[in-house]
Amino acid sequence: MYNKVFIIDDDEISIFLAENMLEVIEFAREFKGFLYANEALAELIALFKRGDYQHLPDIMFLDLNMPHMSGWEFLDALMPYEQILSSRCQIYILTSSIDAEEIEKAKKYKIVSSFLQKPLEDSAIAEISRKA
Amino acid sequence: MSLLNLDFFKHLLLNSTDLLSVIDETGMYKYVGDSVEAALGFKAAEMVGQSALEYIHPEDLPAIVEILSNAGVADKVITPPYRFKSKNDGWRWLETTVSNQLHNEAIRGLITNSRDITETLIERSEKDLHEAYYQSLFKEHPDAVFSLNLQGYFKSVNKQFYRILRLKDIIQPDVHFADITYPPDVKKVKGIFQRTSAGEPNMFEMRVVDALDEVKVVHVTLLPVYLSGAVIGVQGIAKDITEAIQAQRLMQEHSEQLRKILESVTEPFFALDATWRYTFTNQAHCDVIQKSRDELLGNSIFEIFPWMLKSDFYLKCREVAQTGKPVYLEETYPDNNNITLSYSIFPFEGGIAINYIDTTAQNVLKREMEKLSLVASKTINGVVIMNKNGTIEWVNDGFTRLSGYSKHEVVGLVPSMLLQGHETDKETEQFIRQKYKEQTYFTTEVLNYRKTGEAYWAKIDVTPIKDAEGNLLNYVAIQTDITEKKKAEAELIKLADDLHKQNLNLQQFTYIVSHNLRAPVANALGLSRLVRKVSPDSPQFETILEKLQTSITQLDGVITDIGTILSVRDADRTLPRENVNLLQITSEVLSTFQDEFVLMNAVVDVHIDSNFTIISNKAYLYSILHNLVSNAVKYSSPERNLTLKMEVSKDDRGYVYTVSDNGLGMDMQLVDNQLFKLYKRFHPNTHGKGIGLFLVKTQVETIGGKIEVKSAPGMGTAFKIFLGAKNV
Repeated sequence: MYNKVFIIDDDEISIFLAENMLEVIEFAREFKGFLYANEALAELIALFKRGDYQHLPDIMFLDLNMPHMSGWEFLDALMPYEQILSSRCQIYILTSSIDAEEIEKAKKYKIVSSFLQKPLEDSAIAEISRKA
Repeated sequence: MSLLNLDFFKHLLLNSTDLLSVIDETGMYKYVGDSVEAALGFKAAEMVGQSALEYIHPEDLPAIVEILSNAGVADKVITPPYRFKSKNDGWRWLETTVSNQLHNEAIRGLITNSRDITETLIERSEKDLHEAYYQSLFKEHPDAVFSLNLQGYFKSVNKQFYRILRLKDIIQPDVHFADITYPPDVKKVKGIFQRTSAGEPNMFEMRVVDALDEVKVVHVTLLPVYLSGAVIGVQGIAKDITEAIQAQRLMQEHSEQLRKILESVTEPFFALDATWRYTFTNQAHCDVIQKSRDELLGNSIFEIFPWMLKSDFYLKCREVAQTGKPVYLEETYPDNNNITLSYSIFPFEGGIAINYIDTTAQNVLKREMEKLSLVASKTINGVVIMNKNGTIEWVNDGFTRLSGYSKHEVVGLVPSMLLQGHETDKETEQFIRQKYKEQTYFTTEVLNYRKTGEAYWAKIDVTPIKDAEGNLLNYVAIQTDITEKKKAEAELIKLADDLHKQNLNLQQFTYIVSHNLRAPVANALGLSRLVRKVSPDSPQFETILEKLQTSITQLDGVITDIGTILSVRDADRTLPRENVNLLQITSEVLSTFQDEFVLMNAVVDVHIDSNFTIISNKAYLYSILHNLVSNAVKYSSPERNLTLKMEVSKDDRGYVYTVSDNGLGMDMQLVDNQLFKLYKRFHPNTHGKGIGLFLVKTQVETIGGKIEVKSAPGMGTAFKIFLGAKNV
């Protein structure tokens, strides 16, 4: 069981859905949803600055198409902390997009563990749970 | 007396050369000696009893009468020579001694004793004549005449002698010829003098020094003077030839100088006499025809080159000889490697002179130039030749056709100043200026203007022309009208743009399908799975159902949007246009928001001239304005009442419609380029609303307009719509 999960998606229903799917199988102790990627980023950077790495989320579900800061921009902003994150946090892109180009693009980010399509499948959740 | 008989006296009288007569006191011959017959042809008997005076020449008579009258007084008188009639040959000169014997009883008369002196007189007269001639020759000779004794001292000189030597005093007898001889010549002159003294006449030139110490050149003829077979002196004639010598020398110098000049002329030059014989040739001509001077001089050119008799050159030479006027001729000789010679043939005293140059190369060049010139003037391209300062020297007809400017209008002007105008690209202008400065070849496309003000696109190729040392001489610019090409290009660009737009739209649809359509579907799918995992009694259950419904409603919304967008895009070409009054349509739009405005306490400002109308699609204009007002209402600031401004102003292309509010506003840096895209949302939790501005932009473009936005967070947003035919 994971300690903390961030769900970053500008669509409220998506957050609700993901959170409830994960709660049902007791995926983690704490879920935190963000409508704005930059808010999630601010929280992470605050933790980095404090060196408070144990409060970093274990898992982040990230949507790509969001206003203001897209999922890509969010990933780019985390590049300086790649080292710290790689051992502590897995990032899963969770998007309704089925664009092949984006799947390819996601592979270039080392901190991205996998590319998942909405809605979250039980099998995918089970896979991630096994790594805990 | 008695010793002698009468015959003795008779013979004495007969054979005496003297003529003896006795004249009585009346002047009649009383006695005439017989010798008269031998002397004068008369018989003595004929004369006796005749008057003596009748035989005397009338001119001499008065003098003789006077003598005779004196004879009566004196005993004896001698007459001067007078003329006496002779029987056969006219008059003879006589000299007579008259002895008065009137008182002698035995005689009783005047005894005349006459001698014929005719021969003596003639001889004397001839001697006088010789003397006169000699004197004339001596004194009046225009040259100096002088005589010297055998020692070389001057004995006599004439006037001219003084003049030549400019002497004032009469020359002294002790002056020696060596005294006036120019010292270097003395030895030579002495030798000549000696030979002359030995009897040999000499002619020579020598130099003398005159009284003013000036050296003169004289030509001297020196002759020995003989008397009784021996040389008794030397006589000479001297002529001052100083000036003649100088003139001759000058002439020689001139002639030599002329020869040198003609020789130094690198152009071939020769002269022919009236029979076409060479009288002069310079080396250049010899070199050209590969003959020596000796082969030419004195020989006829047409004997040396018989084939030239068929040439125009021959005809022109004859013409010059006949008319005496110079002629210029250029002739090509096909049998001689097509060599072309350009002649100047001109007459002079004694023949014709000819100089010529080989213009073969120039002719080839000229023909080449003519062809080039033909190409340059007839080509449809504009050709401009500029000097090194970049000002026009020459343009072809093509340029005139292209630009509308004639040659005389543009010479001296700078092409770019003349042709470029206000819409010519500034960067291109800068580029052109830079290239001229660098003096390097360049080509570019530039918007030029005709004389009429009409713009046209030209491709220009500008080549700087430099000499061997790299010094700039000219620029040659070639202008090609590429307006059609540019139009085609613009159409292509527009086509590409359209395609790009289509493509973008297709991408938008892909996006709609992949995301905005998929998102609510994914949610619905997820929620429908989730709902089975929770108990129907749990509080979540109801929420999940609610969310499920929302998702499906969103799905419906997106599908509706797709329908709307498709209908706008398909309407592109068939859109009905009508006259729309801008104020009226604004009022219609605003009326639908009446309730919200009242509720929000909004202030709506409308500044639109009631006369502003536009030919457009009313439904789209309505939709555009409705969307913008709707946005203003939706994103109004919670901190202040909405103030909405609807303004229309005229610009030179149509209308500018501004919709501005004092709402939330957006950070332009964040939203730029994204604002008008489909399903781009800048405010979360307002799902499915990302279509509004995309639709607005699509509709504005469809009716031929353009939309711009300015916004600042917390300040508000202003949309400017440019309406007008040209705002595509």
